Amino acid sequence: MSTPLDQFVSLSSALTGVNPAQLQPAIDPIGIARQYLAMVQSAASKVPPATFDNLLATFTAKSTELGADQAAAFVLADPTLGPVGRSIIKMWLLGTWYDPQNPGTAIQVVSSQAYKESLVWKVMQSHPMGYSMWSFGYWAGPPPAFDQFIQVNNGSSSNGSN
Amino acid sequence: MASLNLILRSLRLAGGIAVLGLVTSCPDSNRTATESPTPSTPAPQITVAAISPSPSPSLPALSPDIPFDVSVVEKNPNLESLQHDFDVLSWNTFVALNWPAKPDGQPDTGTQIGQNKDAPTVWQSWKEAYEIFLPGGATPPPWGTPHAAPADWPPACKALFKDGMTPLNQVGKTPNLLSDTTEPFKTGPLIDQNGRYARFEIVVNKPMFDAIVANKLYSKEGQRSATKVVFPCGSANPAPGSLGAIMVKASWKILNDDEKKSGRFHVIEAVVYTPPSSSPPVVEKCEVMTLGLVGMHIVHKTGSAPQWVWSTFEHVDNCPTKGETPSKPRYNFFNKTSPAPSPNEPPPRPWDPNKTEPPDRRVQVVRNIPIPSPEKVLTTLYHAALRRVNPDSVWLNYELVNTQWPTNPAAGCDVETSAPVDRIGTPAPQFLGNTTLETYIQGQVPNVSSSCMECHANATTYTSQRPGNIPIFSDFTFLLERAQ
Repeated sequence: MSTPLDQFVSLSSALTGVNPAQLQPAIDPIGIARQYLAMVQSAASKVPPATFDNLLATFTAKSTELGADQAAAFVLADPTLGPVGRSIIKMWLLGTWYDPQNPGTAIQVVSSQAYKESLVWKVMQSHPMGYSMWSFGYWAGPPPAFDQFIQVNNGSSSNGSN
Repeated sequence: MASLNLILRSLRLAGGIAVLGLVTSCPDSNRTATESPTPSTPAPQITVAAISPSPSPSLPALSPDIPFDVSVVEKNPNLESLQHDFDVLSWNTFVALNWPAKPDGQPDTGTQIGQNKDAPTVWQSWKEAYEIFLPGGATPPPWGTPHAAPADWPPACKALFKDGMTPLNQVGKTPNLLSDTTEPFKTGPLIDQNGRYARFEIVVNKPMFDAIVANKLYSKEGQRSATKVVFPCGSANPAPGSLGAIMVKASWKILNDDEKKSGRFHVIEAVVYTPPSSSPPVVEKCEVMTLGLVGMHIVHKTGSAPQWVWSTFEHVDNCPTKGETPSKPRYNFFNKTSPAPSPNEPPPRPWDPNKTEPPDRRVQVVRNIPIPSPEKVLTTLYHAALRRVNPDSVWLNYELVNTQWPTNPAAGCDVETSAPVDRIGTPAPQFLGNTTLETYIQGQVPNVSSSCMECHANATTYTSQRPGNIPIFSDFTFLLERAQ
């Protein structure tokens, strides 16, 4: 039986289109997926526990029935679950939790790690402001290809870094 | 053999696919090497068990042979098991590097580490920065040339130097005063609880020295011609294996008479040189002193870790851990009876390494990130093995703080080319510092707190303001900036 973390990663992968192996690497010293799950489960998220449990359960059940992409579309169309799903997408992209009922209101940056691990930097084929994992002089050349940054969820992409 | 590098990359791609077939095909992963005396002499192929059978199956074997690379134990490795494997690599490398050395620097295989309590070690014969980056960019003398007093020392200081001594050389001239007595990011020197300034040195092994010489990286002129810097990666394959580049950064404490008698330190006799300065006013001075090892970084480039393996060890009496009750009667860098000034703050200026500073200028050090339990347990095991050799071994007073390694290693030894996006390889643990070497930058804030790989990924060759002199990535070492 899958754990809430497994379910959360599957849901996140379907919502973002990013391979679950990138969202939660097998060898993972950062644990950003755990941090994000804890954020949604915290009182600060303003997500009632029953709503989040329902989101995971609905997505899991619909995945079996319809496949992950259709399950993601289903929960996003739901008036109660959809806003939470959209906040989860923004959290992965921006490292920030937004109030599901007030989508323009950022509640908090999840952590310093969340800031630098935000997918938006990778989508931009860039690096976080103030934190570069590249070497001196990288700016003189073109950035690496998009598929070296993002493993899209179709099983055809390469390792994000190498 | 499938390398750990391949295993980790497979795990990242597959999200946890079993790697039984890959790991079990690694029969040579525990091969080790001694430093070969000449470039043409291959490192001997030998196993730990073959050279030094463990007296107890529960205790690690102590070997003079430097491991080529990490040895993966678990068939389905995870973060914790791999951390253990890298910690074992750290300890085995520490033991081999601190093995008693013969006069030529080779390990004395006729004895055991600590058998005579203490002895000159293998790494102390390696090349110090001042022996590589010479005035005028001159070619360094060949490997094996005994240590000598630096060329730019005044005659009176050179006269103090005798065979077997270590020259602890601060950068010879102003305005670079104190650069060998200060810590990263110019945060300041470290003053111990006797009021004396800690001293530092950096040495490299033969494979790294050879790469520097072969590529003329020892001079500014040579570096201007370089288009890429790639130091060799160690590997067990192909047989008989090869040793990669290794750097050691050591911190030393000037010992008082009680500390000399204590038998708790690995000691050296050194000529400690302090260069002159007008601002702040510092008098040129050189003294013969006995110093004790208090910190040791070992940085080891391997096929499994092209971003290098960063191991750090400390003397057990350095300082207490934040939040814990200080339990030792005395610490090297912490005063139990007078907790002021606030911990981990650099001493106020002016700094004068010749002085014995008063108590209110001595640095109050605490460890901000506790040593994790697995590393403590492993240290206990190695201490048990060392104690069997000699219960009075000085090496019982050194502990592993942690090992940082890349969980997303570059695909090849040329990190710049083979890891274009994640240059630092997502290190584990994310933060690592030695309380004597990164005293003032301990913490857990990305790009601010001490992380070996994050910091050293910024290292470049020599830089100047000259048009067209564009520095290049120097493969995680700042040493090349010392070229003249």
